[in-house]
Amino acid sequence: MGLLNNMPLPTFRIDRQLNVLEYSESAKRRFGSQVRLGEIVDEESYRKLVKLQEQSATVEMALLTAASKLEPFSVSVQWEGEEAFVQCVEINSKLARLEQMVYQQQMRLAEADFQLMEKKEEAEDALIKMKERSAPLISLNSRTALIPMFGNLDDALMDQTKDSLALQFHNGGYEQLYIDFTAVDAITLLGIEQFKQFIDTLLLLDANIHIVGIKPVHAPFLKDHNHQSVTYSSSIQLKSESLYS
Amino acid sequence: MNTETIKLANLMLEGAADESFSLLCTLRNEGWTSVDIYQKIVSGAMQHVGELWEQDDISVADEHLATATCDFMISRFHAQIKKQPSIQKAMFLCVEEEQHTLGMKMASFLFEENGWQTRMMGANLPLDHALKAAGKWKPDVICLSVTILYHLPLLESYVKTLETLPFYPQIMVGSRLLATYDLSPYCTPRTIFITNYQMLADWINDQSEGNEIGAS
Ligand code: B12
Repeated sequence: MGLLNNMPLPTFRIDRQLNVLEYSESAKRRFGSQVRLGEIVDEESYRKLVKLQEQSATVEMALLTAASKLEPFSVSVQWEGEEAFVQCVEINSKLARLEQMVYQQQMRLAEADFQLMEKKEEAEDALIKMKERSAPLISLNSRTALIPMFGNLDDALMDQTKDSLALQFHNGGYEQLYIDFTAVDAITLLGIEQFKQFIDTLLLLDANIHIVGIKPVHAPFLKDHNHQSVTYSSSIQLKSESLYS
Repeated sequence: MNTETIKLANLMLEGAADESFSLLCTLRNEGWTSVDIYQKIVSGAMQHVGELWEQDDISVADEHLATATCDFMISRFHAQIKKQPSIQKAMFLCVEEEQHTLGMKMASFLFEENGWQTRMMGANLPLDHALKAAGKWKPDVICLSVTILYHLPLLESYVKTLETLPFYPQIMVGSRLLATYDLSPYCTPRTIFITNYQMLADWINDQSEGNEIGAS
């Protein structure tokens, strides 16, 4: 008797019907005076209580404390014939504090991340706009349009512009197209690859294409492609002569 | 239960933050609405986690990991959404002792998606703190969340006290307990009860269509 009473952890002696035969002082402090174990077990933990009724085991259950609070406990039951000892160990609430701190750190990092992401998106938007403006389509007259290209003729420039340029050309009902390379700096291989695809698309749309303003450094990039109907000239003129004829 | 829901529950139980986040993104790209993602997938997955605990298949520690993963995942997911600012304001809090915040957090995200300004006061907020905060910020709607049955008696004092604020806020209560219990004895006739996010989205829509808050 005295032995159970002085148990440091809340301890009960129960029978198979889960009647409380005896409880420790610590159990009384934590859960009040109980006659049935079920009284302190949350309804939504009953399935586990049934398990404990049948076998010796340790399970986690939500228990109702003397302060009328629902709290998680690890409950161990040891059966000895028709009687069992039950001990309840609080599941450490320090866990929650730790978790809270980890979560806050995680959020702080993430917030920095979210802001960076936003900035990155802004920068990308700006770049796209810049690229779009680096190859506008200008109407010279009802039949003729001009695309002056600016900056580097690279993958990004062609990616951002080629579809919309082809569409504008088509929708504008133009026949002649001048593409002006005067303000083009460097040309990249991927850029020129896409440029050639762009020309292919335009040729499908029956465009008459004249490339003007080629600098010597650009020539090697343009030389080996087989768009026979494309003409090259140093400036915009009515009659164009082919650069490599 | 949806296979995606179970899959998400498993990812969250493993603490797989990136994978669970991309699962939500994939669904979004497939055309799922936020309402459905939060309701069918995220809420469903957390309920499944609860069932696993009830069946003794996982521990409280696992549940904590799943919760932290979930919390982070939804915050990250929501951060991608563009919001248009509006003048309407909603404040969110849990009654004292109540730690279950995920339900109201996703509700607050849905308010934000619809342009509302929100203040998340979090778990376990004593009534006098709530009163002070609401008095200062003057929200149009004060949203309360209760999960644990034993916290229901507290709800009454929160609803009744907050409703008497001079700017006459609308009180809204969201709770899983609404599925099995009648909460009206703990509330006032003006209180709105919300059981799921579709119902919430419909209510928010009604507001923007010009129906005055609180009009019934
Ligand atoms: C995650 C979880 C926790 C987390 C909560 C963390 C957090 N930050 O939220 C942690 C680990 C902290 C926790 C602790 C505890 N929990 Co707990 N927990 C759960 C679990 C598994 C999921 C809850 C959840 O997030 N669901 C998903 C959300 C989205 O659903 P929801 O909250 O119901 O919200 C929906 C609606 O109600 C509505 N809604 C809710 N709030 C709001 C607000 C507004 C404004 C609106 C519009 C709508 C709305 O919207 C949602 C639509 O789907 C449930 C199981 C379950 N079946 O619910 C147990 C559960 C709720 N917990 C339970 C228990 C027992 C506990 C603990 C006592 C022991 C423990 N397990 O650690 C402690 C007590 C803490 C406390 N004092 O509050 C029991 C409650 C039993 C009871 N009688 O009430 C449950 C049912 C588990 C069980 N089967 O036994 N838990």
